[in-house]
Amino acid sequence: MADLVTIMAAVPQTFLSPGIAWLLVVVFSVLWIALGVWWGRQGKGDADEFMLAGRNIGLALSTATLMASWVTGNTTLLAPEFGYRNGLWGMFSYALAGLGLILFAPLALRIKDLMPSARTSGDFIRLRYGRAAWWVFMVITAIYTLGFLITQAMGAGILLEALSGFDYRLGMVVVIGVSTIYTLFGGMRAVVGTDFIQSLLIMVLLLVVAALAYMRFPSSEVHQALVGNHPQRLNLLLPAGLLIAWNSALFSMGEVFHSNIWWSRVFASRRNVVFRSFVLGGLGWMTIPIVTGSIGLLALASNLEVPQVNMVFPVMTAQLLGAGGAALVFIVVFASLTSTLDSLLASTADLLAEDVFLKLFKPEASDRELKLATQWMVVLLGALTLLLSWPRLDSLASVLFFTGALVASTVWPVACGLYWPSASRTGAISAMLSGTACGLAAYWFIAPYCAAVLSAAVSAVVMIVSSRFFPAEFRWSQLQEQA
Amino acid sequence: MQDLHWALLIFITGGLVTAATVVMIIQGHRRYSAELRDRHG
Repeated sequence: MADLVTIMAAVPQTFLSPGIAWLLVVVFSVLWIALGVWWGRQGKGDADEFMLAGRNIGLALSTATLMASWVTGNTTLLAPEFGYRNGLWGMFSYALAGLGLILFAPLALRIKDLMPSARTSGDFIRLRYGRAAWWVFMVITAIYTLGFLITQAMGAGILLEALSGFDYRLGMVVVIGVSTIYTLFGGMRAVVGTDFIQSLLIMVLLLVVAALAYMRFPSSEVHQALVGNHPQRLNLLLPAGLLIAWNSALFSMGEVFHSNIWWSRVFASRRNVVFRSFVLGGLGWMTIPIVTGSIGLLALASNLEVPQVNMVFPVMTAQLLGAGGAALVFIVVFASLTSTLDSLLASTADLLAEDVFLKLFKPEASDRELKLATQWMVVLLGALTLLLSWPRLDSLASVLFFTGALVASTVWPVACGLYWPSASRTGAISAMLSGTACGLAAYWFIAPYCAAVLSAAVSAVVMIVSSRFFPAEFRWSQLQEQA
Repeated sequence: MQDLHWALLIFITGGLVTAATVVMIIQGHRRYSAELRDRHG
């Protein structure tokens, strides 16, 4: 391992010359925008086309868009941080986030049958549990979405700065700007189309990075260094590791079950592909944090000192593989960030336009007005993300874990709402509020890592008790008729 | 040692909640699939 340490010391602070970095930025920005605008011109041009790509997406596109949207800046920046900080448990725990997509597969099929003409997750909560539950749900999803947007935007700034010395804010503006422009002109069809190419790029390039890294530093050598210098990171009874173990699984279920990113994919896909695409997307995704997380372990084994923990992956890969490696990482993370940001912008704009503009303020709005409102929401969300991400935070994890306390409380209300007619509105509201309160208490008083676990546990108990002792008698047709 | 006890408690809680969620979804899906089969003969 001595040679690895020597290499680390010899590598300069920035890894990609500004010229190459600018070239990559321009090439990929032009490519995404051109493709997005072109795809946006296909189809009928009505609100359903813009918001849900005509509800006709097939298996390959559906699987790819799920994977690309779930590969976030966090997968490439946070998963290595988990491995670096918490060793093996950190790496495997992050990979368990794929469970969110896999377990949503049966729910997706049920949603498709119960609500064939709905547009958002907010539609479901309002029709299933009423307006009061909808307000609680909207507050939770608003905080989560803003947290998610901020971590993606900060990830963009940090990446460009780490790789090429760009100003943090310049990188952020480029990534948010590009995603906003092609989502604005192309809607969901552009998002899905670009996601397909982005997911292929991410998978192929990560495979190259992993293969090159492990050809150069065999796993036995890395293992020896870890045993010698950081035995605690390989200890499966490491307290921090145990705390984090189930957090990602439950957090991811909370994210996927409630967020309109995934509900919009259900409504946009054909019925006969939704189940398979969620299972395949989840399984494919799980390989990615294993690769990026193991890069974090490699950094530990080499005693790499990083200026900021969420820069482990870009710094490590760029140092290991030189300028070519830096370019690969740059492309991977640029694709990850744009593919997630476009999905977030599109689906959140759908949610705001459908649930707030149409259902709350202007029920008589025409199809054209609804589409226009959605486009305005895309622009406003892009601007808001820029504004909130302007001050830089030290760790993306602190923002993310905070939202885990909130979203994990929605897992049982959503799943029970789809399967149990006895699940009541009072039970759902109590479950979301009590789960969130306990999750936040765990975040502050125990550890941020276990917020989602406590939130989901309390919410589950409340849903089970309320459905058993104070059952409702919900008719499933109520969802279909009004939707 | 106290840290480890807390961590194990959270670990077991997380495992149980995850398992309960998986079981609930599988049961719901099986009932739904049976309904669909009945409906379509």
